[in-house]
Amino acid sequence: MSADYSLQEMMVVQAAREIAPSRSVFVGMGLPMLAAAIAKFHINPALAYCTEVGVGDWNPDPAEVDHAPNGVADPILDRGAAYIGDMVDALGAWLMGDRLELAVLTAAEVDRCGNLNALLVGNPSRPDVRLPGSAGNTDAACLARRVITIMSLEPRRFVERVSFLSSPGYITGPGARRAAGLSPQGPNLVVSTMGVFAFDTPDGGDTGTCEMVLVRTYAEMPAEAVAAMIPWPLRIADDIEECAPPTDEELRLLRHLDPGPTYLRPGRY
Amino acid sequence: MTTLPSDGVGPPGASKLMSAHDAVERFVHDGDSVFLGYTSWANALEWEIARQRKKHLTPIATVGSILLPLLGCADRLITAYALGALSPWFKERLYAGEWQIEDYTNQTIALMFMAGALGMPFIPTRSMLGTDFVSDAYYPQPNGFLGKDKLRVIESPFGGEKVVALPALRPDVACVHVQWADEDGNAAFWGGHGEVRWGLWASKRIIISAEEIVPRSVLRSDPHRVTVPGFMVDAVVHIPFGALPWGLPAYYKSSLHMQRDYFAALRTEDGFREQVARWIDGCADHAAVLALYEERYGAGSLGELRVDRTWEPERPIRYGWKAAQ
Repeated sequence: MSADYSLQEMMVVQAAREIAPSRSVFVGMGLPMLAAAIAKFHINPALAYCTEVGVGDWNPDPAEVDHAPNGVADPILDRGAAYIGDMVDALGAWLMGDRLELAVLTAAEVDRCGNLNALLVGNPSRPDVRLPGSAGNTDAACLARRVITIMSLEPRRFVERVSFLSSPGYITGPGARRAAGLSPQGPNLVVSTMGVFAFDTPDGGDTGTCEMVLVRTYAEMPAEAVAAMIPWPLRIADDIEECAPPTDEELRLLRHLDPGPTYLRPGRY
Repeated sequence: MTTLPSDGVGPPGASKLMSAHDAVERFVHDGDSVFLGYTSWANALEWEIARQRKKHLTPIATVGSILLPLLGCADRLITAYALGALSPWFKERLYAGEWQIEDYTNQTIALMFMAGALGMPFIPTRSMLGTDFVSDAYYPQPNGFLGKDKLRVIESPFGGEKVVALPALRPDVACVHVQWADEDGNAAFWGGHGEVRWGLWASKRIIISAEEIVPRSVLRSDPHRVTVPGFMVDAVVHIPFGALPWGLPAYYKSSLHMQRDYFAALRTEDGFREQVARWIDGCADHAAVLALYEERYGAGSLGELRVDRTWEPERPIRYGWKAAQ
């Protein structure tokens, strides 16, 4: 174990651990690319790593990989892939056709019911921030069987209600996904810089409150400190666990895959 | 002798090779919707469109460029990700009503192209259900996601399930950069395809720029390589480094220098005008852009973008039909 790591590194390493038990993953832009690469190269080599431009099951020789893909279309993803197709394949047949177990995403905002916002912050007719757009984020949030969201825990990012719902979690609560025409989804997780959150619904959104619950904390980051950062009364799981700090090997691999650093350069997340 | 009507360009078998200037002048018209591919970035062609100051265009791409709206060449962008949208100047003008963005998603743009290519009026999807993209509460929005007549939640005529009806997209013209093309217009792109195949197939006219022009026999000896067959293509332009500052799989990486300068310049109108004066209006064509690149970023700087190309298929496929002797 290593004492010298940042909260961002803890978040990415924990996200990798949460991703790893899956067999197939849709990897979204940004930090998911790095976390899923750690999951694949360190924990589960059989993980089928897929991206929205049409890359299916990226499986290179790890010794050749000098960086995590810098985007969903980085040509490093062609090396050792089982398939290279297009967005109709990946976002249509794989996601909408329910061929993948998990999607890993990030966004600008996440709310109490796990909805994401990747489009704009503030009043939609005159927003404070106009982001580039949702790309495949909306598609994955609507269609994936499960979603893990990687989000730095900052007051501007964890909000009671997203200012624009670009990517549905449980929308307004129990029954809302089904009423909108979407399939149940979950168990979903949000992996942050200060802990891991699940959602209070046993069946993917049909029953339960569907609200965010703190389920895992990090070393020296008590649940009360996390709750103090959240703008609504945060529920804390009865059986809350503490995650192990990053191991030396996890940190070595993370830093190897993110030379620069690019993904974890200060100020980016 | 009767001649059958033809919508072909030039006599059969005539070369479609021409300069970027001529291809854009001939096939991109004011008022056109223009598919500009993501992963197959036709940056040199986009800059030629900018150089000719075409007007009232609607660029379409999953990952879209804001260059043409900023320059006054486009009124509306149809995209899932407007690169550079974080520029305060772009945002200010967007909400002042100088241009609009129709926001979709990567999947929905790809499907709308598919519908266009197939000649269908619309195509259903389950993406966007439950989002504010399809919520009446957000319409009408003058400058963003113009949803009301664009997206509609309908019920399947068979099981009654909710789906989103997406209108077909049929761009007037496509501009796409590929690795190889021949004089007939047969074009091969390899690497993650994004929406390139359906975007090309949906477009009424097609301009291909290619890193290399290969002899006609090359792609006809391996038709599985071909992304769009030449009979659908109007013009072919030979443009080495035609995706710059973006990369092209198996040829070169993105130029981080040039991207950094470009996105930094986008933050202000002055910075942007300076970039346009230098790289677009200051260069007669892409060859001049490449010369300027080496001048600015150092002799040999283009070569540094080249990627190692030693990887080839371990076992190329073979074709055949005659009985073996």
